[in-house]
Amino acid sequence: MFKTLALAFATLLPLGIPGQVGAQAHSKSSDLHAQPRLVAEQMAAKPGQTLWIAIDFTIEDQWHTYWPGTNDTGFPLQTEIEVHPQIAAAGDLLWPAPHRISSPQGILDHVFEDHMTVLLPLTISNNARLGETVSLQVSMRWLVCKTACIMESAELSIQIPISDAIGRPSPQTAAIFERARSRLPQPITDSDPVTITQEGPSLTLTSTPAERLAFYPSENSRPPRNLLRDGQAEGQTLTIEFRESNDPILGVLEVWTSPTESLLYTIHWPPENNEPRAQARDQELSSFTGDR
Amino acid sequence: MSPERKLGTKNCRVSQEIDEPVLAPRARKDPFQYSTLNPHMEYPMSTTRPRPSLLAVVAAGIAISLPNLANAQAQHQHEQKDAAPQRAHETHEVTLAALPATSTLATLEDLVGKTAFDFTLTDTEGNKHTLSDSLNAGKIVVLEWFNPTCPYVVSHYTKSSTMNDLVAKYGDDNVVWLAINSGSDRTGDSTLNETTRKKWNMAHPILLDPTGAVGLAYGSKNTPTMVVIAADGTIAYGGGIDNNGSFSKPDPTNYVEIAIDALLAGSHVETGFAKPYGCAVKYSRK
Repeated sequence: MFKTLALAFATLLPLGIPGQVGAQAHSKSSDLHAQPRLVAEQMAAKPGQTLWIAIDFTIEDQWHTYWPGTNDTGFPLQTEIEVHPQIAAAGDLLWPAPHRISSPQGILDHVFEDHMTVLLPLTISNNARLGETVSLQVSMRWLVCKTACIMESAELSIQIPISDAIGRPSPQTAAIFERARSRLPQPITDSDPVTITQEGPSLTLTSTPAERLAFYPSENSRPPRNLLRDGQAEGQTLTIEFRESNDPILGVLEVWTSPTESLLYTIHWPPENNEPRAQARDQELSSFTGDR
Repeated sequence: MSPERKLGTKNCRVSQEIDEPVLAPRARKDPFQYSTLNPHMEYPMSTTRPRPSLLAVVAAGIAISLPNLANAQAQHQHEQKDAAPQRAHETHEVTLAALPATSTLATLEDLVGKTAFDFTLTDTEGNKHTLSDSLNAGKIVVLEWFNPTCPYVVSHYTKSSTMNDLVAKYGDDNVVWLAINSGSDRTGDSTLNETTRKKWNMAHPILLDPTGAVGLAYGSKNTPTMVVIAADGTIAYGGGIDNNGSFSKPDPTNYVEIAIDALLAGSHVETGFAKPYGCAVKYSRK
């Protein structure tokens, strides 16, 4: 997992400050419209555990960054993760659900406003020794837009000691992770109030507690024929017509149960027999919660 | 948590940066872990379209001089041409569709294989360009949606010379290349665009479409959106310039180049649509 460091942006960047412990902010760079920082959920990590890192962006008022799904414009955060393989391994990024925005003409994007927090799991090696340090370096670039778009980039680093005493997250850190996890879509289980039916090219998503529904298609999903028309609906039913394709329908369903509260589900249609990745993630999350 | 919000015009503070969109991306060896960390950066949405039949021939000039009649005929032809294919004569006179009266954004993917919309626009030097004139002269026409302040456009002219290279490659080869700016804000300003055209050594004109009528008709959401129109008036390709929306591929596939080569060789354009990428076209916000 030890990757060659990208040098392309080196001359353009204020560098992060390595060598500090715990939550580490980017060096002051007030000209960024989306300001990133790395936050570790704990001040230290144990061998064998999963340590969660938040790549946490504060986005300037009226600006937005992009979700890595179906969009008409822009592109999402790109990262290069560097961590010493004998100490830790980085897993897949977990993305929060986006917001849908559209222009008067119907140019439609799925974006993040105010905050974007992407979660990165670091699995600490069983062979990591107490007293060693997890040194994580994240090189990133992203597009941030208001009426116009700007490419921004940063290189951040964070160092977390290997220790038996992992401590408890500060209230501020706990709040960042709580907010991030509240926007993570979850697989639909039998007990969830969502039903999916297909009729010809159309998929109908129904949820009885819903006041409003929205579907955010993944980039590699079978494409909706008219996402502007079909992507959201008031009420309990959302019917989306798709183009002909053998690709599965993939994305995120947001179910508003009130004007300010919503449930988020991952959509995979037709359903898979099992979802090993989602299950593994759930186990990871629950085992970590237990560890706390 | 909130429902969809419309992009507002509130506090239309245009930041300084857009004139000089620094940090524009450039093609470079992929340092990012697309395959493992960011699989969404690929745009595997190319679709294959059957090659449309050649257009029927009607009397010259009707499309331009009698817009209502031309509109009706064009609509009729839109519906009929696949059912009743006819060969174009060597005089090569085409009938195009008239621009729609409504200002709604078309779906570009659905236009591929259909008849192009005729238009007349004025460029930054004051010259008028009429699509049907170029087609009647037997030319293939390439439309390139343009915004001098868009980082994606900037990149294709400064970090690479994607557009200028193709214009140079095909300029003597029966291809007319037209940049179109459908921006209604200051990014569509004639002087700004002409200054940029000179700075970037563009051999092709920049046509101004301040009402957005042409951009909306062609379903152009992005700068750059590319449309390749066969000399028979059929939209042969619509979409992105290439498959490098992340600016990460060292050797991107240029769909416009492939489409032009196919048309020049008289063969089928395999990829009729590939997802466009770039900035949003700065249409009027009314």
